[in-house]
Amino acid sequence: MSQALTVASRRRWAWKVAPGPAIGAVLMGLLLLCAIAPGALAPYSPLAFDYHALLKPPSAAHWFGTDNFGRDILSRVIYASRIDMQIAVFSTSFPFLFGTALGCLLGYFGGIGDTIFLRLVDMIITMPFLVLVIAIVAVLGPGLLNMYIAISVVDWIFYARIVRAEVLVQKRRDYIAAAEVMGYGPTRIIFRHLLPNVVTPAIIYWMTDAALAVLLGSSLGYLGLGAQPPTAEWGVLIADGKNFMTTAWWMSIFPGFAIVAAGAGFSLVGDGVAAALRRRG
Amino acid sequence: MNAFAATKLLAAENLTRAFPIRHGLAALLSGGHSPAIRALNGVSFSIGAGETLAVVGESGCGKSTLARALVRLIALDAGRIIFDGEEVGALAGAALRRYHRRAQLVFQDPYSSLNPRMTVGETLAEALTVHRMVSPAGRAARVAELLGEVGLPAVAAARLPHALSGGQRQRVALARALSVRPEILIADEIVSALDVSVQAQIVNLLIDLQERLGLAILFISHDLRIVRHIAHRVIVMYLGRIVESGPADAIFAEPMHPYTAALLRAVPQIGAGRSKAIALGGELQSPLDLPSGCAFHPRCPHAMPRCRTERPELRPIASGRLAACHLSG
Amino acid sequence: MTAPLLSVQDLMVRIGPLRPISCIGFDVAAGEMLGIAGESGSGKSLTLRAILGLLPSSASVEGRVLWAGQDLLQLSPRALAGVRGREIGMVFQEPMMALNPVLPIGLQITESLRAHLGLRGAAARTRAAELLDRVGIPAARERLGSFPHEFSGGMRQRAMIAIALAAEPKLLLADEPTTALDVTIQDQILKLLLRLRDELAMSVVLVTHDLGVIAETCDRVVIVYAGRVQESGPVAEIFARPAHAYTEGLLRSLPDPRRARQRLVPIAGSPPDPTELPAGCPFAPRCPAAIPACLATVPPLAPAGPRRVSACLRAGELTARALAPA
Repeated sequence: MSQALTVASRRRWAWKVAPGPAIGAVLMGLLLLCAIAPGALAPYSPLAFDYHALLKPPSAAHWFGTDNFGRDILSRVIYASRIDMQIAVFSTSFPFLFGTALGCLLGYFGGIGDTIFLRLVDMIITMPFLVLVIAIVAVLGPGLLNMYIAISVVDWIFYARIVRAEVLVQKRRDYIAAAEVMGYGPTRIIFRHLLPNVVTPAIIYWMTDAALAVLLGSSLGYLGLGAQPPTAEWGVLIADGKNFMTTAWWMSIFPGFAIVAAGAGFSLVGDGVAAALRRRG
Repeated sequence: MNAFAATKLLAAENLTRAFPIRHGLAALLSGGHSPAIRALNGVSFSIGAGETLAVVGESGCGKSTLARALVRLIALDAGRIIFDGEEVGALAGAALRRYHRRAQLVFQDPYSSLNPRMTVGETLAEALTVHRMVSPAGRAARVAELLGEVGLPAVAAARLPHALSGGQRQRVALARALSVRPEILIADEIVSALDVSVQAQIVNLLIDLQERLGLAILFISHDLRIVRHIAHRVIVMYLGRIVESGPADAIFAEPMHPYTAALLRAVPQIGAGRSKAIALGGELQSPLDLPSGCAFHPRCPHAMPRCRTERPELRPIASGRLAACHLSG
Repeated sequence: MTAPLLSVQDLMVRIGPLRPISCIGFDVAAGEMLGIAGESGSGKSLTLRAILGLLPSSASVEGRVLWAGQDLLQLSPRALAGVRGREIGMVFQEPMMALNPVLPIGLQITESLRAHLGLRGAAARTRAAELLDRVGIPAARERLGSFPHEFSGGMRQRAMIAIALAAEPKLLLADEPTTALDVTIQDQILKLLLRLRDELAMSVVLVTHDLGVIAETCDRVVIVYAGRVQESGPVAEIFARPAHAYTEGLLRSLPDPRRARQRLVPIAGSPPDPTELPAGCPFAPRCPAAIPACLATVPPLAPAGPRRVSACLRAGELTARALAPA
């Protein structure tokens, strides 16, 4: 009994003290549910044509309306969340892991590798990220996998930069010097001592990056460079409704909301994670 | 007569280290020479097993650089460190790791010398593991033993550093250093950041450990009151050089270098009486631009013309005592 | 007996769940140097900030701080700003933190001169140079344009003192002004404070953890522990014949040249957790001389000799014997 009370009161506290992350958590929870078990939530199959219900506005039968093939928009949006959440996670995981590891090594050892890296950073940040990714996709060809590759090739640099900066700070602290005096080798120092203390900014950035990845993936999908139709992906859905903006606005607007919800969800949860990590660290 | 002279555990010969400044403008201003902070300028001394040698001096004298150079955290430009017959500068790999077992260093700031994300137990166990001090089965027991040696309860092993006070953290740092059973412990201002009553506890702990383990201690401090209490011999440093050295009692009773005398006058003591006169006027010279001759002459109340032109060598002036001053030469 | 210049009475400060100051009170007479001695967490630095209203906004303060017939704690922020700097000056521990790094020293002094004395232009600059000269900075006129980072630690501290003295305050509050300095520089700064005290007929409240500093500079001392005054009185008397077990413990734990290389006698244990202060005397859990009455209620500050008070129930027994070597 008392346990239930404390859970409820903790939830109320969460709402009062940290409404942002709480809202974010709710949004993320919803989206994750859609991504994991779309079949349970979607009323229709995303590919089911219904020629009797073309371009119908939102109604009781079709909450988000139907598109020009009679497909239920709600179901398509729900199934698309699987793809977009995958994009958020997969396109950022490799940059996070690789960038963090490299940032540690570069920050700790410095030297010529570090100098090369800094020049690389200078080059990359002068170019808009989206343009770079589009350029790479143009070379590799459209498609989800190529999009992951294109993003990974560029995105790791931002993680490496953040982690390298934090390593430069932590490297000077006495506990690292103490580890050296204890005779520990560089491997142990970097991975056992430095890494846990520098990874926090990278984790925080990862959450924001996931939000940006959703936006990026949708943009590429809209342009036809990412996920390919008939795959349901929010950007693709928006592109599908492009020609019907004035007659069937619901085709593009609802996937748009979904993108906003995903972006907001990741950002708000990211804020909460950042605050929690800051308090602990 | 120095009872420890027979067994010289560590000998430092002519240690020299300068830190170049990499500003282009500064190089231009100094007329082409690349300016450098001369942190150590030919420092030589030795320490025997089981003795406490104190290094005193104010900021810029080079004592922290010295501490770090002795444990190979900082490289030397010139000079040798001989530990138990081996030249420390030439060590590498496994031999270097063996040296780290025998010579340890404890830092000044208890708030940054422990990994904030490792518990006390993990920090100590790591040292035991890397140096294979004990079998995995006996590790936990050894950690508890080490904590006991420094006066901490065994339950402290589960705590993270942020839950401990400054004094407790220093004890953990000491336990870590002692876990590898070193023969010489370098204590770099380890009590400076602590409260007075806690300082007393740590000082007692050091005295205990020295008695029990036969530890040699290089005690670096700017607080002469504590140094007087713990040191057998003392080295006084100024701007990268030793200006005086000898048995602690002798130096405190009768300092032979004007800087040592000024330091002693400056120390605030209870019951020492009040004087309006300043112990030592002037400011520390910039280590970028050392004065000619004796580095101390601009501030020295007894400076002679010779002091401006000729740098005094560190010379024996009485049994076991050295001083670098033209007055006593 | 003339009225004290400053009278702090029953000061209590609460910040969140903590009560860093439970009850602190003392008087400062005109022209005297009062030391406040205590370890970290005793509330000594916070006391100075409370006097000048420099506590965080989340802090709640009770008590009275009587200055020139007014209670500073009751003043409006504007009125208090008129007292700060003009009548009461303050010097901090870390000059690099307390000085504005992007403004030249001269400007920081003339700013104070303009605000408090209405001096401007050439007159202000001349006065600023005079002040720098008075605190012992050579080539004062030229140094007006220097930035804080161009000064050494000791010089920065002198500059901070110059800024604090710009408006000729009657009282100077010094929060650990020499703790971060080398011992020879500390000596210079302390002697400077003594000289200024004499030349300007100013009172000084010096907060420090170093009893030696108090012994060499202060006239009277207030010993603080866990947010309470434990005893106060003339320096020489207190150090020769402490009337509180904490003071005695502190003095005993200091290195004694006569007992070199023997064990020091530290005070057992550590200061209490500020969120869980004991019911009685805060020092009782660590006190070797504690009696049951000490743990029951907080002992009041009672007279322990002429011009001395102590919050120790056994003050009488302690003062009966002078501090002898163990």
